This record gives sequence, C-alpha cells and structure tokens, in this order.
Amino acid sequence: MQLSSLDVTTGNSEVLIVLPAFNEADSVAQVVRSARSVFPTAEILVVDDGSTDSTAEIAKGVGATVISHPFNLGYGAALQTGYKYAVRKGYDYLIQMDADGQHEPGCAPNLLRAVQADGLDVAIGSRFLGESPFRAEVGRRLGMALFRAIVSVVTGQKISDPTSGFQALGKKAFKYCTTGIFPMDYPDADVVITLHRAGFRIGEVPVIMYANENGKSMHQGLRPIYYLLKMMLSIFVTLLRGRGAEGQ
Amino acid sequence: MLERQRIFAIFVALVLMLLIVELVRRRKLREEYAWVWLLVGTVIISLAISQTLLVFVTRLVGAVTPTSTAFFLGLIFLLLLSVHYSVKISHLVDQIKNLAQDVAILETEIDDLLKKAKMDASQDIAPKGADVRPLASDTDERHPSASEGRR
Repeated sequence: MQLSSLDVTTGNSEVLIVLPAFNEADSVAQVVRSARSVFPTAEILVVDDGSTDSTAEIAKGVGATVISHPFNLGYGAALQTGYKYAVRKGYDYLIQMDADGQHEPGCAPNLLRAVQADGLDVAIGSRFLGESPFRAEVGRRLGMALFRAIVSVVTGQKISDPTSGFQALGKKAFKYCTTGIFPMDYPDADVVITLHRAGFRIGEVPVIMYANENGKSMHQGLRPIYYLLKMMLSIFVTLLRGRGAEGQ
Repeated sequence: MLERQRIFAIFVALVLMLLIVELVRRRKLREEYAWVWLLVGTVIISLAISQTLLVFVTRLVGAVTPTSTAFFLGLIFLLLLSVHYSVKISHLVDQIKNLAQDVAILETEIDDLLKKAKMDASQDIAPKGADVRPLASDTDERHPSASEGRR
C-alpha cells in the first residue's frame, strides 16, 4: 500500500490530530514524531487521561499540545475532550489514533482524504482491509466478529472493523460526539450505530495496525466481560432510541 | 403482630424521623433527600398502628405473616432507593466528566496565553546596542513635537 503525505491546509480546512493517552510515556514521543512527519503543519493534541507517569511532560517536550485531565476519566472521555477542543478551535477535520504506537500514522492521510474528498463524515481505519501484522487473541477476535456482524446488520453496510480507534472525522461528526451520546469508557460499535442512525456517512479505509509492544491493553482482566455486556446493552438501547436528529 | 414488636417499630420510626430532622438542621442532609426518610418513618408508624392495613397488604402480596410483609416491603424500598441513587450517580458522573474536561481545556489555554504574554513582554524590551535617547526632563528641554503641539 502506497503511503503518502497530504497538504492538510488546503483551502480553509484544518485538521487536528488527537492522541488520547494513559500512561504512554514509553511510546508517546515516537507517535507524536511520526504523526508530525506525516502532518508537518497540523496541531497534534495529546489528551493525557490522568496518567501517573511522565506522559504529559514527554508529549510537551516533543512539541505536542497537551490537555491533562485532573484524574482518569476513560478512553472515551479523553477522545471527547479532543472533540471539544477541536470544536472550540474551529477545526474542520480530526484524526484520532492511539498513543501506544499501534496505529501507523502513514495511513492517516488516506483516512483524511476519505472525509475531505470522498464525502464521508467518519472514516474508520480497518486493520482487516489492510495488511496488518497484528492479530488479536482468540477471545478478542470472537468479540470483534460478533460486533462486526451486529453493526453490519444494523447499518446495512459491511463494516469490518467497528471497534477501531483509528479514525478521521468531519466537523459535524465530532461536534455531534461532544454531546451526551458519547460513552466515557469504550466508544466502539455502539457509537458507529448511533452515528449511522443519526444520518452520518460512515466508511472504511485500509490501515496498518501493530501489536502493542508493551502488551498493555484496555481489555485486560475482567474488563472484556464488562465490555461485552456493556456493549450489548448499549447497542440494544441505541436501537430502542429514535434516530438522532442532531446529526444532519 | 405482638404488642412489643409494634411498640419497638414505632420507637425506631420516631428515632429515625428525629435523626433525619437533626441531620437537616445541621445541614448534613439536604431537604430534598430528607423527605423520603420521613415518609418511611410515617409508613412504619402507620403499619405498626394499623393492624388492618398490614393484614390487607399481607393478603395482597400473598405473604404468610405480617412480619414477612414488613420485610418484603423493606427490601422493595431499599431496591428502589438503590436504583434512585444509581440514576443520581450517573448524572453526577456526567457533570463531573464535563467539568473535568472543561477545566483541562481551560488550563491548557491559560498556559498558552501566559506563554504568549511572556513572549510579547520579552519582545517589548529594546535590543542591546540600540540608539536609545534619554527623555527630556520636566523643567528643561521638552520634546520638540510636544512643545510645538502646545503653541
């Protein structure tokens, strides 16, 4: 797959790169530098979600804008802080990626192109469409397959990686996500369904993802069970709610 | 219900109600949460005094003895109270999350503004080697343009 950079300041459009981070002191500097090499003029925002290590200091040291939560709020809340910042600063586009180095920044321009030029409101980076060396463990793969099936049936379109956090969003979409519809912990398949029902155009772009070198994951211990139950409930109530009118 | 049980129930209800009033008086409990406990005390006293009412409820729920009814009603009440607190907590969590996000964003903006203010202040200081002329004193020479303006 050919990777290319993109002039992200064409016309009046500007893009914000958002990296939610929790105790990612080991990887955040490299991720910021990689993102900067792909988007030399874009603002890179690291949302430090109450880290107990030096994530914030390191990110500032490599030139990122850093917003530090006073305490840990959750991955979803950290993303939402990024959305709120983007709205506040008047950004037109936003790219979100993990600060642990799992997402290949070189794939981000393709995501951005999908929302800038291809008419999408949300472009999801799918590891299954690209040549990702990363393979999750069996339990995680089963969960992903389950939510993939549910999302595909509910939205009527094939979405191969609805749990991917590597995404690009247009202004309307990330502004919508600053409201109460956005979960604090795991914004995944339920958000995809919510956005679809609110009328946003969602598509996928192949991306490359790597295994987490530190072996850390937000899905550890008993959390996968909670995640599964919570996601099923969230999807169920999302279907019970009316179609969101705020989207379009 | 035995007479002793009835008296004890009334005593406990009265103590509860007095405790609630005292907590509100000391501002340790908000009025909006106090009324439900006063209502509980009132219900306990009502059921303790009126054997007929308790027997009616016992038959209604299909219990065997009035004592079972009292325990059952107590459990239902605690269950509903827990749901109520879960709703309240959910709302509070949302409020705290929004506050924390706003505080974090504002802190970053304040830091940016302070940095810019420092940079602006350092740029206002004249660079070394510049031709800096002393200002004229009040009694002697005046700046030509100023004195011309006054004529």
